[in-house]
Amino acid sequence: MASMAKYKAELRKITRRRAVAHEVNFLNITAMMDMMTIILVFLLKSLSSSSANLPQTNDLALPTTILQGEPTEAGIQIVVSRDRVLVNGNEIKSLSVPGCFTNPNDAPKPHEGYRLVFCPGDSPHGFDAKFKARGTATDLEISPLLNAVETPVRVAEEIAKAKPKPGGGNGVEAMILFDRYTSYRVMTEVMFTLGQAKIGKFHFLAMQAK
Amino acid sequence: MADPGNNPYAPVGGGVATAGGVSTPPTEKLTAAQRSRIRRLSAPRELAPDEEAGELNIVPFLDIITNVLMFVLASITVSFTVSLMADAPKQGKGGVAKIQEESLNLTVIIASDGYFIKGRSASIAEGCNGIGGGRPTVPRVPASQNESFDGKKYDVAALQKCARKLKEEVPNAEAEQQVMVTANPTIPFQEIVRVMDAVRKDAKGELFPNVVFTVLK
Repeated sequence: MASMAKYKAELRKITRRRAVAHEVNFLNITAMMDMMTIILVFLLKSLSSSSANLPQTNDLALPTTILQGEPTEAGIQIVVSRDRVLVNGNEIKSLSVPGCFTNPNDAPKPHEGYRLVFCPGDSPHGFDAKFKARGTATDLEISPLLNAVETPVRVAEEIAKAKPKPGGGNGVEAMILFDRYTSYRVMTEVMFTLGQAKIGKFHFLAMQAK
Repeated sequence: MADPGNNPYAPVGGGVATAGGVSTPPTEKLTAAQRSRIRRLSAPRELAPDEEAGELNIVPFLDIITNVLMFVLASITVSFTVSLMADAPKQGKGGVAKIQEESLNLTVIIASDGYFIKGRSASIAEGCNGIGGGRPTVPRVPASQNESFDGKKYDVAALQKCARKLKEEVPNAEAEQQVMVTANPTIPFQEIVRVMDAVRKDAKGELFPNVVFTVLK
């Protein structure tokens, strides 16, 4: 008959011998997964809020510039593409942009690179007279655009009042995206109308040239 | 008291007790009961199914995340945007910021045949030499069909040189910051941006960084 000490020693020895070595069934990748998930979340967040994902469609190709700097995303966003006008992403259905290219297939595509083209002499250079405040083609004020920016301007003014900027200058700003083939007449009419809506400062968005 | 025969731990078998209470067994042989108990106790413990891996198996989830990440990274088109600042257009001369008589008051007009540059009181002659009107200060130059529909493009480099020359040579122009830009109604926005780029600064430094759009009457 073995003693208690002998019995326990024997038990420990056999337990040790019969113990199955800890097998690594799979790699522990929890830490890596955490990291990747965080990266993915931040990546998606930055992509959604970045101006880098601005639409570059057939009817909107931004001009290129050699200037460098950070894009300012402050202000009311106005998009003037080849056939539409959008205010903060909402299309002004009642407004049509005068077409420089009578046949849309003639218009240079965004991926083709810029090529100097003047609108034909008989093509409308500005918005149609029916959209103008005074009903004449020579007028600069575009009524549907003025109506569309009224509410965003009021909201921007209220925000500026409630939360004044540190450096002063609480005027309402606009970030304008013109297509690179937008004629100067259309540009001035849009800017004049925005000026009438108390928007005093404009940021034109352009692509940085490589 | 329990029966020593049923207790495998019991120091049975007539051990000799010492003064310290430690007994020295006469024999080290395990009994059948002890061997049986050792066999039972030393058997590897079976893990429950939920504690086998020790943690949640997130490998499929990780696969999805990795794939999504790959596609997101691959689909990013690196494009940088820039903001070009400008003030609201002014119609006619009345709205333009205070014109001082002794200042340059540079105006660049983009016409269909080239750039017309105007100073305080007169147009700058072709080649940016002296005063003279009628012909564009910087005429369009020959270009390939890929650059222009009619084989002629605007000479931005010459415009920039002229702006630098005026800034350096005209009295009081050194401190001037403003340039008025206007164009024919048909001129595309890209040409306006090129003019803005050219007159804002060059390799030597700033030229006329404040661009104001005007409309010709």
